[in-house]
Order: sequence, then structure tokens, then C-alpha cells
Amino acid sequence: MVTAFAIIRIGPDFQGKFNLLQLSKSSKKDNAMNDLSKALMLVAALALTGCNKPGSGAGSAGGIEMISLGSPSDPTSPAYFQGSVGDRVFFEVDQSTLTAQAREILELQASWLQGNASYNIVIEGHADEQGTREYNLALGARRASAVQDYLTTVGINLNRMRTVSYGKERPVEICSIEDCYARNRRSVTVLTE
Amino acid sequence: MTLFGLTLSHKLGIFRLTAAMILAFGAQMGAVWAQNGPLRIEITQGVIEPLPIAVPGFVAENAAALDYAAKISRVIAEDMAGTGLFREIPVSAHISRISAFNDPIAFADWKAVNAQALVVGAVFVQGVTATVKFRLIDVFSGQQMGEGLQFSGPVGIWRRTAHKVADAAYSRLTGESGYFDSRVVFVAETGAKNKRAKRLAIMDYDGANVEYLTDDKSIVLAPRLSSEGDKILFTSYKTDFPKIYMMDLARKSVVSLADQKGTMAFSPRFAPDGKSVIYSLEKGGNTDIYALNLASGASRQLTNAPSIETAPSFSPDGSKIVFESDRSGGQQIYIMDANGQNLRRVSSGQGRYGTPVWSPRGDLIAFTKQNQGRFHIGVMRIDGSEERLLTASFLDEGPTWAPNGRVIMFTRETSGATGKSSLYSVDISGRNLKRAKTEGAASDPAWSPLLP
Amino acid sequence: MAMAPVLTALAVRPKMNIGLLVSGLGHLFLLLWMFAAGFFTKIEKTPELQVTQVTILSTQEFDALNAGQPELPSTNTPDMARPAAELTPALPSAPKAEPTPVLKSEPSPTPTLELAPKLMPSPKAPEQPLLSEAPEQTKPQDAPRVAPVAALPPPVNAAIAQDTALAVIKSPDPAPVPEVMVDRQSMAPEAATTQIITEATQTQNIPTLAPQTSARPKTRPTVAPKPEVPPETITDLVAEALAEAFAEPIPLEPEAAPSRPAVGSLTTFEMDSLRLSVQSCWNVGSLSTDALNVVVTIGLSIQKNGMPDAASIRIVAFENGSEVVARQAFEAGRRAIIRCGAKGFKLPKEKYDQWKDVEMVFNPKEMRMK
Repeated sequence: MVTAFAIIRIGPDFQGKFNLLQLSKSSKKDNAMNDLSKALMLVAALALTGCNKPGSGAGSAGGIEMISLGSPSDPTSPAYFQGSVGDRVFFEVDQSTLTAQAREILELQASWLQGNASYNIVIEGHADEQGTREYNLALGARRASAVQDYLTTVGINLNRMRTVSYGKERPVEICSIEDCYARNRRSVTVLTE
Repeated sequence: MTLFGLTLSHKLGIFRLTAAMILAFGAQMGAVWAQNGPLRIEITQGVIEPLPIAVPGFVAENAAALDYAAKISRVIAEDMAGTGLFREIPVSAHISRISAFNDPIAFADWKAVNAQALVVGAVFVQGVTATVKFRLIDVFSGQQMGEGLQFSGPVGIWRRTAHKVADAAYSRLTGESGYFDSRVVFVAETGAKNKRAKRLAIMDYDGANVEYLTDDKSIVLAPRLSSEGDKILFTSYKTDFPKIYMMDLARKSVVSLADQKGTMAFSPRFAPDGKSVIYSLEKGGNTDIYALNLASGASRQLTNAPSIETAPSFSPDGSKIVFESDRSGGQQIYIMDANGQNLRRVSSGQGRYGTPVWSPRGDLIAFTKQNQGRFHIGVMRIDGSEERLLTASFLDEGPTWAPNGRVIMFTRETSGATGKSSLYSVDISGRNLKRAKTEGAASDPAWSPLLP
Repeated sequence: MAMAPVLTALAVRPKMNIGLLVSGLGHLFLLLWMFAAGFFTKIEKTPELQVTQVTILSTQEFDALNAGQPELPSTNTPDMARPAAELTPALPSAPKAEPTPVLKSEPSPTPTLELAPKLMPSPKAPEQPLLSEAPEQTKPQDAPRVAPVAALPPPVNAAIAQDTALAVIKSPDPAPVPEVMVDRQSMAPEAATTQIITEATQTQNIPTLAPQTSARPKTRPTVAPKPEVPPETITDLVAEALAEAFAEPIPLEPEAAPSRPAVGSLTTFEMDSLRLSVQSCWNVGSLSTDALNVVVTIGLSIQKNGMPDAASIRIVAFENGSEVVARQAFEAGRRAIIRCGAKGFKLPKEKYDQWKDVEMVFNPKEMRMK
């Protein structure tokens, strides 16, 4: 019981929300709803209202958003989007133009997004480390914008999308050879609520 | 030469001699003068090497100063030797000792250890005030160089007092103004390249007195100082998007600047008068340079091009801005007036030029150059001429100028999965490349002006 | 014993006779002996280094020199580089240029001035690599010490141009010039020096100077500009004028060499040696970039023993900077004078009047970093 209180936290907190969801599910299964369970449900409901809405403004309190991945075999799950559809496209050195392969992936993304209208996206632009910091931020922004523009042309509504650039700050590969660089020069489509 | 009682033939002989000499020496450049006036020779070649100096332990004039006197003289010696312009004769090699500030100098002893200049000092500590006085001795001419100087300050900031003494000694000996009493704001880094945690920090230029200004929960980048040294501008991902912020160093309060929905802002710098901030704003995939009036909060767009314009830096008089743009197809350096007019390209040559920074002396621009897989820190004149590369490595970037415009600090990152960033400094002659002392990995340094 | 099988073999050949055999064997034996004794091995010509204060050669010796002149310069070519290397370790204590000529065997007293500048900046062994690398070193950071080795030739050449003119003037009949590949800057100044010193000391040798000098600057006419005046007339003029000038008695301090009524101005070589000796102590490494723009003229008096009078060192003039930075430039120059003059400059005592007051112009234009 004490543990349950400790877990509950108001506001954006990954840990708390996850456990709350579990808690609420388990209490639903319990037929004998005691007072404590009801209280917990109420508190949980309150807690969930404190969630951030996606796209609720640039000045939002910068919380960490969470979506449930679901099963990769479920074609409507984010896991499927990341795995089978492909959530990222890659770029040539110092380029932000989409390759033919990139466009194919983006078309798949677009069709998935049209079939799953409850999701919005944040498009991340990244660059490899072979450049200066500010320029790479701007380059990442160009790449994200290129993806966003293309998705618009294949029918995704602009107000479902946001772009962000991380420049060279968030590489996925850390070796300093072209193989790693190529995988860092990317734009990632991140699903949000 | 004057010859009296000359016969005619003698005079003729002398005339012929003179004529011959004039013919013979006619082509040369004044090395020989006819026997009028002193002999004149021109010295055009010399050597370039560190000047050997000695900094004997400063005299503690009272018991309370005992602790500080030795430490202060060490800080001064390290400051001066650290410039690469001076070489310290180790204390262990000294023959004579200084036991009182005004003691006569045993010049022969100092000549014997080959010290050409001597820094003699004394420290007196009363209550919370430390008084440090020093005088400079030119050993080979056997004279004191000018007058001595005395600095007093709170004993708690004795390091700053020592730096001020070193600045004065350095300045007197070289003619250059000093840079030791200054701070460097930077990003302290931990973790591997794909798990990098960054936080803002500030330290004395020599690595002492480190203070952490933010936590490492979100990425912070490229802090820059105001010309008073009292405020910092930086970029942060606190909101999951890069935005610019201003921190007051005294109060540690942070405000967000130029926050526009759907945009990203980064690369901010103060104008020299501190009243406005230039920065890069990304909108719809394109990045341009904007100026923000701090008082009114109004922003004005300075460049308008489909290319990337970023990394702006003001000239010391605030009249011009140097920045990088890839409008020609690759990153190059451009200069425009502070109102955005008269845009012209400055860099030429192979490779990509970025992160330009105007020297506090107004005569040079430091930059990062990328060419054939190598990164270099370089300097060029403000018209783009006389480009000179000072370093070469896997990844050097982001130069910042010391307050005297003579030394540059920058970030150097090593390659590979275990690569880390460190701060390095180099003299603008390319000499004295060395690592700055930081506790761990560090990047994006910005040098303060000389503290008042 | 060895002869036995040979003899028997030879006995098979009736046509060969014993005389031929013995002659052949004798020749062979001689050849073998010569090889063993090293007759055919290349003689490593160790240069005979004679360090002398003044070169005084008799007429006969000069004639002998002339006779042997034409071939020798070419063979000495490959030796030029070695003396430089050999001298540097030999003279580790020479931070100042010894203006005294370091002579090799006769026709190449030449490398002295070339050597002297090389000596000065790097007296210590670790800095010897600097000599060979000097032309490639453009970045000061590559060396702990930057010395003007590579840059020295130009000023020496400047002196050479004038010396050449003088030398060429003095040759009465330009003899055919054999192609000599010796570094030209090493040739001429020494030629001039030798000759001028000799002039000063040997008035009676003046007639012999002309033919003597004609040989040495043979390389010069191909490189240096020729004077417009026909050499013959000038030489005659000079020879005559000098003879008359030196015949004039002029009061002098009594000196060890009584036959020296020298009153001529300081030779270029002597001034160069003074300049070079101060140069090696002129450290601009700690000067500000502003101070490196300043051209400062320093005046001083030098005592008879060659030591500068420290109290007399003063700024005479400065330009291209404020007074403040001129002070730094002055101090660097003053340190150079005092340090390198600590043991006295090598200047000819008989010309004390010429150098008792000196003005040195310190011009860092070639030392400036931008």
C-alpha cells in the first residue's frame, strides 16, 4: 500500500505513469473494489489529466513523452512503424536532398500515418560529426524540413508535424568512419501522441 | 678625415679614392658611411625564443602572508611561462635569494643563471586584505624596469591578485596587454559520444575555481559571455527544442530569449554594448541571422537567403558582423554591417570556413577550416588576406579569443568511439599549443574580457 | 710456389716466354699492392682549418696560389657543406660570429662568412638539425628556437653585391672564368675581406693584389651585376689612390703590427661581423606584435676593448609605434647588445675611431608574425 502511494506522482513522470497504468489495469480485474482501490483510481485519473498534450506549445515544460510501443506484428503499433515501415531516412554528406530510397520510405510512413491518425510526429534532423556545431544544427534542420515537406506533398497534414534538429549532438553510431557517419546522417520520424 | 698640408697629388689621390669608393659602394644600402657621424648598422634578423626569467619566491612581510607568498609567486610564474613567451629558471637553480623587497640585486648571480628578467615581489596580509607588490628587474642592463606596482584585494581572491601582477609584468616586458585575470565559460562533458551529458561551467582561464552553472539533464551548447563578463548566452534543449537563453552570472537566473513557436534558435552572441543579441533562427528548414533588442524584445531579420547563415560575431566596435554562410555552395565567411547591409565574402581558398570570431583587437578573424578531412583553427585579416592555419587535427572547432587578442582557445575532439573533447589554447604565431586544464572533457569555450 | 703451377701451365704454351710472364706478374703484384695501400681509394679531404686573426701572405705565396688557382675551386665544392657541419661541433661556444676568417687551404677561405652565420645561431648540438632544416621551417612551432639561418643569406648577399663590385673592379683583366659550383655567397665576401685586410697591412703588395683577386670572384660575374665602368681604369684608380692614401702618415695607436697605418673605414666584413654578433642575441620572442612593428635606432659607445658602454645605450629614434612599445623594442635591442658584447665585440682596434660611436637600427620586419 505504501508502495502504491510512493509510485503515484502528479505530472509528467515516466516512471509514475507506467506504474499507474499497470495499477489501474490490475485494479480493474479485481472484482472486490475496496475503498482504497477506488481512491487510487481517482488519484490515477487526476494524475493522468496532468499529462502534457502533444503539440501544446513550444514553451511546454519539456517533459518526456511516452507512447506504448505495442507489438511489432500489430500493424497499427509504433513498433511496427519503427521496424517494418522504417522510421528513418539517410542523407549524403552535407546534403539535405532526399534520395529515391528515402522517398520510398517516406511514402510508406505517410500511408501508415494516414491509417493511424491518432499519432502526431516530430521529425528529427541529425548530422554526422564532420562539421562545426552551429552549421550541423542548421543542416539537421534542413534535413528534417525536407522530410516534412515531402510528407506534406504525400498528404500528411502540417499540423501533425514538428521538426527539431540535433545537429551532431545525438549520434547513434560513435565510430569515426564513413560507415558510422552514414548512419548518423539521418532524419528520424518520431511518433508522439 | 682631415689632412692638412696636402700636396696636389695627395688631394688628387684622395679624390680618386673617394671616387673609387663611391663607385664601389654605390650599389649597397648604407652599410658604410663616409667617416662622418657614428657607424650605423642595421639588424634585421634575430632569434625567437622564450625570454628566460626568474621569479624567486615572494617575500612574506608578515606571518599571515607566509601561506600566500609562495603560492602567489608560483601562480605568477606559471602564468608567464604558460604563455610560451617566457621560460622560467627554476627556483632550485637560483644562486641568490631575495629576502626583502628592496634588497639590492646581485646582478652577477642572476646573470650566472642566465635570467634576463627578474620578478621581485612581497606579500602582506592584514585581516581579509592581501597586498602584493612587485618590481621588474632587467638583469643585463642592471636596472629596474620602470616603477614597481602594488595590488590589494580580498585575500579570498588571492589568485586574481596574482593574475593581475602577472598581467602587469607580462605587459611591461612584452608590450602586450595581459590576459591572466580572466575566466572561461565552457561546456563540461561526460559520457560516450552517444550518451553525452553536457552542462555549463565557468573557470579561471588556468583551470582553477571551476563552477557548474547548470545540470546535465538537457543538452547545452556554445555559451558566450557579454563584454562585461557578467552574463552568458547559451543554447539549450531544455524544452526539447534548441532555444537561446541568457543567464545572469551573479544571480544565476535564466531567461528565455526570442522564443517563437515552430522555430529553433541557436548560436547567440552579445553585441559589444550588451544591448542586443545576434543569433541564428531556423524557420521552415532555413536558417538566417537575426538581432534581438534586449530592452524591447523585438527581433529584426538581418539576412534573408535560402542558404544557411549562422555563427555570427560582432566586431569589437559593434559596427560589423562576421558570420558563415553556404550561399556559394559551401561554408564561407562573410562580413556585413550591423544593420545587414554591405554583405561581402571574406574567405577564399579551398575547404569550408566556419565559426568566425572577431579578435578583440579588431585586426584578425579566427575561424575553423575544414579541408581534405582535416580541421584547422586559423586566423585571417579582416579583408580575408594573410590566412594562416594554426592547428590541424581530426576535429578542431569553435575558437575564442583571449582578451589581448594574442591567444586562441578552442575545442579539440579525438576520433573514434572513445573520443573526447578537450579545450586547447594556442598563440597566434602557432606556438605554444597546449591543453587547458579541465577536470574532465570540455568543449565550446568562451573567454571573458579582463576582469575589472 | 705459386709460380710452379703457373709455370707448368705456361710450359704448355710454347709461345709465351718467361719475360712476359714475369712482367705480367710484376704488374699484377704492383696493382695489388696499390689497391692494398689505398692508392685508388678516394682521399677524404679533411680540410685544414687554420684559424688566423689576419692573413698575411708573402708575394711568393700569392704567386703560388695563383698558379694553383684554376682547378682547385671545383674540387672544393663538395667540401663546402662538410666544414659547416664539422665546425659547429668544434666551436660550441660561439654565440657571436667570429669575424676572423676560418680558412681552408688557400683558394677557399670562402666558406667563412657562410659558416659564421651558421655557427652563431646554433652553437649547441641539439640545434644542429636546425641548420639543415632551416629552409623548410616555416612554422616557428616546429623548433624550440627560431634562428635566422635560412634568412641570413640575403643580407650576406647584399654585402656580396657590393663586394663583388669591388672585387671585380680590382681585377685588371677579367680572366676566363671556370664554372665553379660553389655557393656564391660564400665566395665573394671572403675574397673582399682578405683583400682589404691585406691592403691595410701590405701597402707594398698593392700591385700584386690585382692579379690575386682576379681569380677568386670568378663566379661572381655570372650572377652579380657588372659595374658600367671598365674594370681596368677603376682598378688603376683605386690602386693608385689607395697607395697614395696609405702613404699618408696618420697618427695611430701603437699596435702589435707596426706596419699597419690603417685608416680606411670599417670593411663590410667587419661591420657584418658586428651586426651578426648582435643579431644572435637579439631575441624578439617575447615582444608584442605592436613592438614587432617598431623600428628602433639605438645609439651606444663602445670602449676600446670592444665592450659596449652600457650606460651609453640609448634610443636615438623610433618609428611605427608609440613610445610605449618602442620601449619594449629598445629593451630587446639593449639586451642583445649587452649580452653579445659582454666579452667585447671583435672589431679592429686600429679603426677605433670608426666604431667608438655606433648606431644600430633594429628592424624586425623579417621577424614579424602577422
